[in-house]
Amino acid sequence: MNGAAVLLVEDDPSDVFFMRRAWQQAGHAASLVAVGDGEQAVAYLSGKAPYSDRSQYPFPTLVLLDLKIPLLPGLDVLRWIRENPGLRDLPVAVLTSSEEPADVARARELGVSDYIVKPTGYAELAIVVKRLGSMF
Amino acid sequence: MIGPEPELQERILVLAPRGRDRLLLADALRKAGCRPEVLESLPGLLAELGRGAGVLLFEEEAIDAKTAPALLEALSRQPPWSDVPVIILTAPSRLERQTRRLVLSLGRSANVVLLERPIRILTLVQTAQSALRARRRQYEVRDFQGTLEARVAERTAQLEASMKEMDTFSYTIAHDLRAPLRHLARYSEALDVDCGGDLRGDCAEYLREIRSGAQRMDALVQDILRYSRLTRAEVSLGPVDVGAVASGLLGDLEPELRDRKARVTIDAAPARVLADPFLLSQALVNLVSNSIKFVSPGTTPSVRIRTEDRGPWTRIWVEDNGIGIAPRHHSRVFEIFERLHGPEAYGGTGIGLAIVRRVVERQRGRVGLESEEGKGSRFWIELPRAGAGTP
Repeated sequence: MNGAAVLLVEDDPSDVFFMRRAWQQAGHAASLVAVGDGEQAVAYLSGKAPYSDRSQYPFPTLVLLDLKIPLLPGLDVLRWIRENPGLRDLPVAVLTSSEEPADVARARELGVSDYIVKPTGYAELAIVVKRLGSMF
Repeated sequence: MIGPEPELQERILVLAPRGRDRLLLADALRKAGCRPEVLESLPGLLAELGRGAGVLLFEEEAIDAKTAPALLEALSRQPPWSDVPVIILTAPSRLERQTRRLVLSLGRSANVVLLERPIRILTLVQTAQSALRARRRQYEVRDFQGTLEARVAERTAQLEASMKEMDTFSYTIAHDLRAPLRHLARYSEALDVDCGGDLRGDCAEYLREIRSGAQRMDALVQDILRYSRLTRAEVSLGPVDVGAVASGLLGDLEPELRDRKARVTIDAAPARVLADPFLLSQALVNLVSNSIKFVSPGTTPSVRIRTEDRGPWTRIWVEDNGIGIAPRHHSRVFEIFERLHGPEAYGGTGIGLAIVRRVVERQRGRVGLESEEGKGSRFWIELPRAGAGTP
């Protein structure tokens, strides 16, 4: 591990499982760290407990953000990131099953770097994950 | 809103400065079953008018140059449904031009009838009753408008509530319903990859069925969401160049066209229709992708998009060399979830043509087709031609 990390904000364990599987298969050098809700995502990014040890929880070079997550919705996490001076330039890709124009439009307004609709099949997911390599 | 005291609306408000006439007038009207109410001054009468009145009855002497503006003002403040009848009993001593000046000074906002004095009781009563009848109609219009507005407001609220519910519904489907399907598809795929070789007999086939079932259902869910989005999408109509929209959609369909080695030609005369560019392109995308899908095995799909002027309409044809549709099925093809083939022969969810019809109707257009089995299909969309002078 070279210390680089990508933060996955995803509450669905199966989605996390397949993400890890595709991540490994893609052979990305960065590690994939997963948190399960919006508040954890904020705590992780601010380096607050229990994520204060940056050697264990490195600051990410990319955030993969599900929209419908517990405690703090994905779009609120995105807004918080964009309003936070230290994080403003952090690439954030939304990874969601929603193609609703309202979700897409709001994510764009809030300055999302990429909006990815979760593919149904694993093979398609593997392709998406491989491509993510260009973002970090 | 219905007036709290309907009897107020039947009143004849009387202003008669000459004491004897006042009593005679009121008495005669009362005897005829009317409800006269004698007032002492114009301001008093105008205050009563605000509470509701059937008719205003004046002696000419009751109004002069000083008081006329107040009356004019009150009459011109009436709501649109109201045009209260004003009966003026002319003064025999006044010259006609004086009376004319008075009538003119009340302007267009007054609905004035002049009765010459001396007047017969019958004439007065009959005129008053006729005016009351007309006035009753005005109140009916007011009440009808009130209930109509209330009803429209109620319906609008109901509609908004169900739209909102639809939004929530779609949101839940989009976010939650697709997750289990995704997992079904992916786990069966993973099982196949990791342990496919260990499966006995037909088990590998069962696994593929699970996967394709989940994928079919996910496609269905996506199509339902697409249909619902297009149903709710805002429509903004303007002049649209058909050829440009048609060329644009070829880009969107590129992978599909390449997969099926399909050929699409656009033969649109410079035609501009009144449409929403996004919805029009959605309609054409669905028609073209339908056309290239339903072809006999071994046939290279060939589609032609052309326009035809039909008076105030422009018809956009999408013609193909596909398997065609027997005329007895023509009425069904635009219905949602209608499919003419099993999934073995031609996949699909039965939503494509329903989307076409829905989005075309939302643009105030029409759809149809001409086809026979084995002879290709000619689908059409008709939209209003954009006026020559429209920018």
